Amino acid sequence: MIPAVLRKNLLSLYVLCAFLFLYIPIFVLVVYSFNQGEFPLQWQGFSLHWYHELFSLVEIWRAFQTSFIVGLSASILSLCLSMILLYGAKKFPYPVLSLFYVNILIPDIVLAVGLLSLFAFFWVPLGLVALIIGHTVLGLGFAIPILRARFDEMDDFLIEASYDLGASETYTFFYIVIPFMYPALFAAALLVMIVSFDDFLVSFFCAGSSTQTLSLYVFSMIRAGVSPTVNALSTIMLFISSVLVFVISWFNISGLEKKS
Amino acid sequence: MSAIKKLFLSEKYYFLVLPALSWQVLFFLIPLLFVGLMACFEHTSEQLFAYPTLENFRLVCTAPHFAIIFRSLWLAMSTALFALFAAYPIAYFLAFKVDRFRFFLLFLLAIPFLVNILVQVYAWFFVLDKQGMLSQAFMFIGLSKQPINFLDTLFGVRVVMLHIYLPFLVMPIFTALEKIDYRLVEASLDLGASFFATFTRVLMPLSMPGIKNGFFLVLVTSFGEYIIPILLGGNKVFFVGTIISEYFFIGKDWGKGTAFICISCLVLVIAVLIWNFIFNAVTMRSKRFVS
Amino acid sequence: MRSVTLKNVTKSYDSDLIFQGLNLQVPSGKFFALLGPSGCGKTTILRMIAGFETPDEGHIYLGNKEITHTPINQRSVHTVFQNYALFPHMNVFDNVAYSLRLKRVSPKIIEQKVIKTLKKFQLEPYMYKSVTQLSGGQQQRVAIARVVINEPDVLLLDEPLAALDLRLREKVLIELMELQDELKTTFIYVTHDQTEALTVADQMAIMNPNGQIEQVGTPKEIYEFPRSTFVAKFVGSTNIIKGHLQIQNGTHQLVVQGLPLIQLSQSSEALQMNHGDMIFISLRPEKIMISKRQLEGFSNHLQGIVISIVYHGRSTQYNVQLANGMLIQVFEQNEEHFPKDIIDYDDSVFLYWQKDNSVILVE
Repeated sequence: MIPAVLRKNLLSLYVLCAFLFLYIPIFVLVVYSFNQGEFPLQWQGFSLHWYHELFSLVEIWRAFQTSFIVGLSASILSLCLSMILLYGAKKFPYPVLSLFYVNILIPDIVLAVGLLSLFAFFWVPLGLVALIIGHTVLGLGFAIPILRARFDEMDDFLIEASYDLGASETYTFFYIVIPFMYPALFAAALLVMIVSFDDFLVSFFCAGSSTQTLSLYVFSMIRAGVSPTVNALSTIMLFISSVLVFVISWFNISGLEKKS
Repeated sequence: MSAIKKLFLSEKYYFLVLPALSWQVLFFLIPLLFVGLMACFEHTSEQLFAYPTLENFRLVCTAPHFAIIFRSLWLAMSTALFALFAAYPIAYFLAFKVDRFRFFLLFLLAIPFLVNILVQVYAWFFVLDKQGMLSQAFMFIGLSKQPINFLDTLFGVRVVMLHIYLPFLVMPIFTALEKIDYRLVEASLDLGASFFATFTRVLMPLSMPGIKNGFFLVLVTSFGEYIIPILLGGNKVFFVGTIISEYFFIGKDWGKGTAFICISCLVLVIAVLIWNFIFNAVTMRSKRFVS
Repeated sequence: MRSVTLKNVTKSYDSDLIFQGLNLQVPSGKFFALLGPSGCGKTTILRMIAGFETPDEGHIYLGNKEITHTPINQRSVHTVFQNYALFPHMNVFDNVAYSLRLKRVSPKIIEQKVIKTLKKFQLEPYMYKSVTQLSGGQQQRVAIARVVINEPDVLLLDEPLAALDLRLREKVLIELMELQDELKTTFIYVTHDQTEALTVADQMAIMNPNGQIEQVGTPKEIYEFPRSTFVAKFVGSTNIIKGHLQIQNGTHQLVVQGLPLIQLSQSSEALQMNHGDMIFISLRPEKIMISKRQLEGFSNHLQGIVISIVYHGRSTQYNVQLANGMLIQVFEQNEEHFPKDIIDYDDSVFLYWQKDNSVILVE
């Protein structure tokens, strides 16, 4: 039938094609961000022109700032809430942690609408606060599994040894438990930030008319039409995401090795 | 002070679950509740909940609405299935066929996962556009003499959905497969099973939790997809996500909007239950493969 | 019931050469053991016969048929894995019935055959139990039942006793021997434990750490007539004595510095050697008689001091230092409750053995 050599490598070939499928559009996007001319989509030489244009747009900076503040706050909030929750849920009779796994499962749009309704009912102004609240809900869904996995790995004896040596609960928490959790905390923090930056639907519904996040800005740019400036912005976002992903995985692996 | 100290020193830290739990209740459960409630009320410009009514549901349970719901469901199911069949070999490859490159490949897989979906959809513009790569490729091969615009087509939407949701499925299946001892595969082959038989009788039942996780994640998330249809589908075809946003922002009819969400979610839940049943049946069948 | 032949097989793993030009002949219908230290490549040989690995060069034959590139599932060869590899999501019945169901045998016949096989292995009471709930010994029986039911030509066993506790091992060894006797299937048993191999094998092969097969033969041949130092030392304990061959008047002796002349028998190996060659001889500790008194009638005797004594219950091991500093190990069976001659530390003793009881190593 199929020659043996081909059959052996069929799987590898397929995986290669799959990865190409995942990356070719991105690749094309990046390449065209350096395209000198405007469209049609023909290569007209290398240029950083669009990047210059990008940096001159003031709104982008503001949008980025907003996204950053929201992301950072959501991240910190998620981490704090999660850590306290984990500590409390350790011996809790009911599986309260499983409750949070739904946050990722439901369609974003339902949550977004719900939050909008909630805010409207309580006359909470849409904007920064609303965004932070919403993103924290999402963040909890991502942070808790990561933190829980690491938390479960912790030997109870570590905590007991600390008490045995005379430490108080809080001391133990901050000087034993938290350091142990560093790699997971770092990964979760970064992940929540990425999720917050990438979030569109919740922001779309809850940002209101005055606030704009980076995602919303990109969305409006895309709606306006294809433009190399968007390519440039996208390339930058791509680059940052890749670096963050790399940092997360690297840190996770080496951090785990150190602690174990 | 002593009461708090007592709490701290006591064995039970149960009260610590309160912050996160209250956050969840307040900002997750209650919003969902609101969605359900709002669907049952008529709204005025002052009050959100003026008086109860089922009018919203009546307005929403019409044929065109259901057509949209089922179209979205069909799209979601086909995306999930395509992605499932596409992802499984990749997960298999990662779990069993590589060792040294695994970190690198997982890293490559994680990037599309975490890159902004807007960026990825935008990237596809360049491929699907009339003068984009795919069109040029078609002309190059000879399948078409004129440039084709894939942008406003359902085909384009499907391709991009697959692109976005493929990594969603690879990870859970990979996690499940990793736990399987490869010697089980070897034992099955050793006893005379073809590769297909090994898959249906050994790999699939053992990786079913991962398959289900990934499938339902994609099914549910892609059902409410808004970005892809609105950016790629043009204004020709409507999906659940686009209709909902239209009701909320353009029509300002929150009652209808939430009612529509409720009905859509109901259909989704039924679909999930049906698929769960299907998966369980397939697993049962594979175990006792009586000829 | 067919023989297995490996011809000129070479295999490497990522630039690590495991073996080169390997030749092995496994006779049909026998219990064959492949013995060697960990990492010597014996498991790789097994996997190549089963089909999980393909040789880089060379051929593998099952009887007269070449199976070098035949896919795993088309060979009439089945493997009992070291960790049993039972399908965890199936019960005992389904595991055992697996191969039959693949062939689309009718359910009634399957049921008959499976129950019969389960009865034979005393597994019938566990028929519908999940395999994860069974003990190690029971799991192993399921693993064996699973392959036996399909009546393969060759059965491969990869260190099957490794996961069992000591008590169970002997019992299982005997059961395996009886099984092979009854089925007459070719068994190929891989292990690093020489006692297992000696007990169980009709024929065995020894591999050295470099992936070469040192010797093939019956257990008795290998134990009594090792051909190299490696084999002599790996299987059982031995004393290796190095010296020069002296041929005088048709008789052979070993010249060792500091010791009296050691008489050797006129074995076929000795006849191939020349006067003056440096040779090694292997002398098993149980073949040496130790005594404080002078005895007559032995071809060889040496004198030494007892350095250490190790009590083994059945036997006592004496380590004796000779005049030239060499250490000789002696096993003496504890035949009597109250031995007449008690040998103690620092005692001066005589060691006696017949010249026929030493073996010249070909190396």
